[in-house]
Amino acid sequence: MKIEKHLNVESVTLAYGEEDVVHNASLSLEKGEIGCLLGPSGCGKSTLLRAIAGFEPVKSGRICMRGQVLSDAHNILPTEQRNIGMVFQDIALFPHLTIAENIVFGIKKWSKKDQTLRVQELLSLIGLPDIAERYPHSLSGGQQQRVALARAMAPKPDLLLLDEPFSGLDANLRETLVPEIRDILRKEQMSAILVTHDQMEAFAMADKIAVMQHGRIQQCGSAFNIYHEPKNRFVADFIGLGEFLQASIKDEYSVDSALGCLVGDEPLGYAPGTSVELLIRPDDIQHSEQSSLTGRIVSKWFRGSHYLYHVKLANGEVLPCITACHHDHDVGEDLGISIELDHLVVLPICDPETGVCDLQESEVVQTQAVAR
Amino acid sequence: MFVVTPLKSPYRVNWLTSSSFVIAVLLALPIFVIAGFVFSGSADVFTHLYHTVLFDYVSNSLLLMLGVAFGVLLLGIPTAWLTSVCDFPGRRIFAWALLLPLAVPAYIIAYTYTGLLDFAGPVQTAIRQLTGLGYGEYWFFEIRSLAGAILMLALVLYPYVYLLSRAAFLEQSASTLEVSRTLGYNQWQGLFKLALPLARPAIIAGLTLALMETLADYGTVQYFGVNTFTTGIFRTFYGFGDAVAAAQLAVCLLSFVALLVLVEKYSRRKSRYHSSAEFKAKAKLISLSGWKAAVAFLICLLPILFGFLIPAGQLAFWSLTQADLSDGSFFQLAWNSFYLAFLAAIIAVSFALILAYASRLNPKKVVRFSVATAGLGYALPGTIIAIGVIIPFAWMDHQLIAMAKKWFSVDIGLVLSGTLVALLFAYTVRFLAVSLGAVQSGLDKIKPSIDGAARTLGCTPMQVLKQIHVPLMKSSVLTALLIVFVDVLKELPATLILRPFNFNTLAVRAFELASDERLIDAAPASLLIVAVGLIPVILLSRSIAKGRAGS
Repeated sequence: MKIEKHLNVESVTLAYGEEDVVHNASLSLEKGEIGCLLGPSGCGKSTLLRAIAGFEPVKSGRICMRGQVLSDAHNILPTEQRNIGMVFQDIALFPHLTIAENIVFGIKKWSKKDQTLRVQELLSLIGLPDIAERYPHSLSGGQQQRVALARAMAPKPDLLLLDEPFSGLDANLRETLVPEIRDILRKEQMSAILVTHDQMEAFAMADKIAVMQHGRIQQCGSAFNIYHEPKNRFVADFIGLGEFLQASIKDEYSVDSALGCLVGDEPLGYAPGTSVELLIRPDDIQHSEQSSLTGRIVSKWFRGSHYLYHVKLANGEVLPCITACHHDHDVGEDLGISIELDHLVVLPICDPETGVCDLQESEVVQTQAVAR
Repeated sequence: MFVVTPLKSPYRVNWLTSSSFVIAVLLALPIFVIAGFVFSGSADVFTHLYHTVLFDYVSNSLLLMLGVAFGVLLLGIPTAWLTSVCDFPGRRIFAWALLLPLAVPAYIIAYTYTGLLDFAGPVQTAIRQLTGLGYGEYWFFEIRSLAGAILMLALVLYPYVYLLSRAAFLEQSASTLEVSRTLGYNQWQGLFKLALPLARPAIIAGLTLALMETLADYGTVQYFGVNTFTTGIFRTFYGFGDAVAAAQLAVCLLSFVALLVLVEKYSRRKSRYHSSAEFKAKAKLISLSGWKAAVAFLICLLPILFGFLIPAGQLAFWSLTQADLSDGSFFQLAWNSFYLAFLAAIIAVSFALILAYASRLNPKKVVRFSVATAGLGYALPGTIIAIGVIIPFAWMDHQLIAMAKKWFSVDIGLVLSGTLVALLFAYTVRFLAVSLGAVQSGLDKIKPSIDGAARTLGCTPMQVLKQIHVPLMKSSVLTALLIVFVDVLKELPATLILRPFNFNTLAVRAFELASDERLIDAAPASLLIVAVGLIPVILLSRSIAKGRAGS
């Protein structure tokens, strides 16, 4: 027996014509939760969102909300009857209507008094109380996107869909708008799904992130989860910075690499002697003056609060390393490094050309100790 | 409980798709008919034509095109460059006024200048009075000649080159030109090494449009007695009564047109690469003063003066002082022209709306093909369309008459080819592309996400149409109606061939009167055509002024 969540997407396959663009995707959302579909462009995330909105039919599987089937292979509930709001990438305010008329558009059946109240409530929520009588073209991009959010929330939808709502805005604006909109959604206790290719947006907004590639959901979990415990090489590569280090399995619990022998506290699940790759995040490597392990600095990137170095180990492999700002070293110097690994992410060797083992799951275990 | 609608099968034929296909096939009929005659029918008359006049047609058409090309480039490019890159007194007025000649059909400017410049006209009369010379004792430019036709066509067609190359000059970012300055080119070198080559695709596009109009022209060359394809098609059709040979001539003309269309398409494909950047710094205008400003002023003034002010002034003068309107037919003509143009506009825009919505909602291959086919007519000269319409319609009429006689023993007459049906059909073929362009550009502005937003806010598809599309599309549909209306009002050759017996329009009557050397009596009708023709030109220049408002 499946537990009914607020939204259930069950084994949904979507197709454009003959070609499947989303394969067997499943995810669920609790009421008030913010989910995120994260992936590179063309991975099918927007198509999946449009299917939830009812713009695209499903080929197989089904989409349910509050126990009600919205779409399956045979039936599709028209968008306008789903009580789902949507904010679009290109904002899509109605240019011939004022801001107030735009917001009222979805609540025309309400009484005039309620409409006015709701408009005022939403405009103050988005911090633009005085723009009711203006037209969309007189607003800036960020203001327009906030109005679009207000318009989508006006009918108090059961679910709000956000299709790359920030990608048309410049970086500064995005940084202020993202937390602002998250707070607005929280305040209204809105269940929402965000589609984005920007992991910082996803991390800032979402309780739950589904990473997609080639029309498949690769991993679903919290931001912490997908960053520190990526299930496969694609997720490891796509989320955050990091390098892959050649390694080989030593025994059930430990693995050998240029950084020495690393031991986990759970079985790794590979036969001893298997060649594997280790995922090393920049924050896994610390600068340590005393360390006997050193690498030559090959690049240096000042990032404001810290430096990001890349150091080349004796065997030629390159590792990222983050140091505090006062550790200012030059390219070409040797940097002493130590390993502070919380999670041992062991991935099977992939053919970089074909990516054959892309979908094979990685082994993530808590590391216990680092030994040389 | 929600209402669940069954999922639409992708294989179900959509009525929009099917009707757009039907429209396309219908509108392509004239082309099929003409093309069909390449391979069929007797070649006797054509062989005769080949041995006698075909060489004339080809060489005259080519010379005409060459001359007009030279003329429109000479008038169009310098004016475009001056009004977009330089600053001098009157620049803002010139920027839109240079479009005014677009409102004057070539045949009207042709006989207006004939009235001015021929032996009995005011100019030569004045010369004789001043010098005392008599007939044949002095040389004067013979307007009714190939050179005259070139001059007339260039004067009213240069705005195509002006318009497109000006847009290209304005699009060129300041930084492009500034880069050339930092690399050691002065402003004038920058013009020839950079601005002109960059604008070349636009210039070629404008040139091909002007040349297509040149090939399509019938009134001017007929009036001036220059034998080209269009006059040849007419003469073969009426003189020899040979529709087949006329169609075969039309095929020759069609190959010229096809070549131009290809050139235009090619140049546009290239021009796409140029305007990619979103934001462009506006170039600082080159300030002209003194004699330079005076020269610039003159260069911009002359085309307007000769292309619009003098002919329009002359027509107004004739209309107000000398024209004979006593028979009252003028108002009948105006009424005929207006309701015909209005009906044609309604039909063309309705078809355009069906095609535009079909390609928005089902962008399938069938629909894209339909839209492309339906738009072909714009490249076709009116004469070709008229021949392509009259042949199948006359055939169908004969079948209908025979059937009616056989089954109902009544004589129904020519229901298709002898009525306005043929004319309206020809107009729709010719001007659908124009209305389609206007409607599509309006529809493109309504992003698909706007529909989506309305749907998520509880609108059914019909409500989206009513609450979003109708208010947003209003102005583009009106523009489309207006453009077709004006184009139909000005259209001459197809109307001449297809009009029902005893049915006259302003354009036809003006041309007939002028051909009978009653130039002055033709003036009121011509003036009205020019006046109505001004409306879209004003719209165009207003949108240009808006686009430039930031400067």
